[in-house]
Amino acid sequence: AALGHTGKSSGINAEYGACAMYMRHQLKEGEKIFLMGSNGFSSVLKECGVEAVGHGVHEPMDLHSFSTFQPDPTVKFVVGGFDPQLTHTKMTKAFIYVREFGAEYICTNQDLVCPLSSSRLLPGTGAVLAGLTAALGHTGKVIGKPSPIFFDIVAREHGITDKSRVLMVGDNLLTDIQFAANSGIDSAVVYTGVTKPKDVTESAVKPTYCLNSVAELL
Amino acid sequence: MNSLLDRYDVFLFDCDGVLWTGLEPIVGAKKLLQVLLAREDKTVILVTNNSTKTRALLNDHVKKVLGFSMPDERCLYSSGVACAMYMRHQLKEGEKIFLMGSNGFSSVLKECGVEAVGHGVHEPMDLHSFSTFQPDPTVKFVVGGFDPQLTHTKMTKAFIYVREFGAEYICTNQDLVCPLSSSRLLPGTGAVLAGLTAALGHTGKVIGKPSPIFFDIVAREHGITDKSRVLMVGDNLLTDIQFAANSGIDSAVVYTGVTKPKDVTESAVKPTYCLNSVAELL
Repeated sequence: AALGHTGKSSGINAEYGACAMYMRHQLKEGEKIFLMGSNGFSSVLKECGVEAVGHGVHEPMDLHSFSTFQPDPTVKFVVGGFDPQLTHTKMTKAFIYVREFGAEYICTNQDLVCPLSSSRLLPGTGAVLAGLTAALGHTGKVIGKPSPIFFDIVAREHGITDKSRVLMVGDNLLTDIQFAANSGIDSAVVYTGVTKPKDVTESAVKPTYCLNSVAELL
Repeated sequence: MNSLLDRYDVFLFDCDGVLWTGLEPIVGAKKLLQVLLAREDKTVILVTNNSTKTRALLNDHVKKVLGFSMPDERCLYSSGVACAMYMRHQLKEGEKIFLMGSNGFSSVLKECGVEAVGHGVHEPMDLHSFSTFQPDPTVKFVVGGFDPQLTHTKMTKAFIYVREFGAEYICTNQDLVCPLSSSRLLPGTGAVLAGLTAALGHTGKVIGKPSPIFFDIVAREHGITDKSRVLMVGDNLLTDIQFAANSGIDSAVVYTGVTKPKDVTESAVKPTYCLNSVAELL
């Protein structure tokens, strides 16, 4: 089987589904998750039976108001994804849930930058979530690429048992190819995206195959 | 410890946890400051990393909590004021700075003759809109402070200014957390700016504590030349005491804020003196 997910944060993507699947059997009736993410992400969670609170715009809270902030006791997870509306106020609530109330913190990915074009990079999900990472001292559990958790979830849903017959095809050495390495499967890097041959030479993680594009698989 | 008042002429004080806690004065702080302010041969300077207030507002807070104002506003220093002074002689007529910070910070900058753009709420931009984003060519610096309205959109504009257009990136401080109470910590300025730090791969130039740049700016404005006669008094080992160490001046930690004796034992950076509170300076 070839896994063709790019995991880019635009609308619904496979990493949202993987987060939902990771959590849903761990949540009891009535338990919720606090979401730093898009409406698209909350929809995917809802479809998987996971109820999210906290997403969207937060009214800025004066720092001293946090003295009396009472979190929702039914929140068991804090979930981080690409969130264009993440501010200090929302981050602080998440921080309190994790640090004081023991919520488990998971995230879709930690990509620090994502390329918009060949010349312009933009801060990525890892940058959006960097404040919580810095304050907590850890990234939370990464569910998306390059985490092998992502592969386990996909493999389970598709009944994939023979890893030697799986090929991951991607353009990003740090996410796609590292993901394959972490998951114990073969990989092919394609040069139609962010990676060029020079990058493969300089990289610690090496793909099994190097292709100019997916067309070469035929 | 009367000898400390004799041994030093310039006293730099951190504020929260040293002179007051929130709106409650530390016992003895008012009397200490009044004694020092009454002496011609002594100088009192308040140094705070809080960039959200102008010097006038800081003085209002001093008056509210301690019952009197500082007679000279130049003795009130925030990391915001330090940033403004750092930049102002480097900016030509018409040049501006892109600010990730509060309205208070933009007022501080304006008072120092530095024009800021970018602060406040940004309309969320679709990622693809950034392909055609054209920055303001008069922006020469990107400045980061505590910004409750920093989002990915604003951060991305800052990132483009620094990475593509060569704007110099400076920030007030990098405190990852700040204590709200003895049990509750909140993410601090360092956490707010962490996204830009992560995307750029560096923090930018830190101007506030513990950077010695802050001391150089204060020393220049007050004509302080003899560092051996300067004492920094603070409650935070990583900002106040490290600041003193980095600046080559003596320090006293007080136990009325975030630091307790055990923390000093475990710390790599050591203060010159350990006091229960500023009252012991008298």
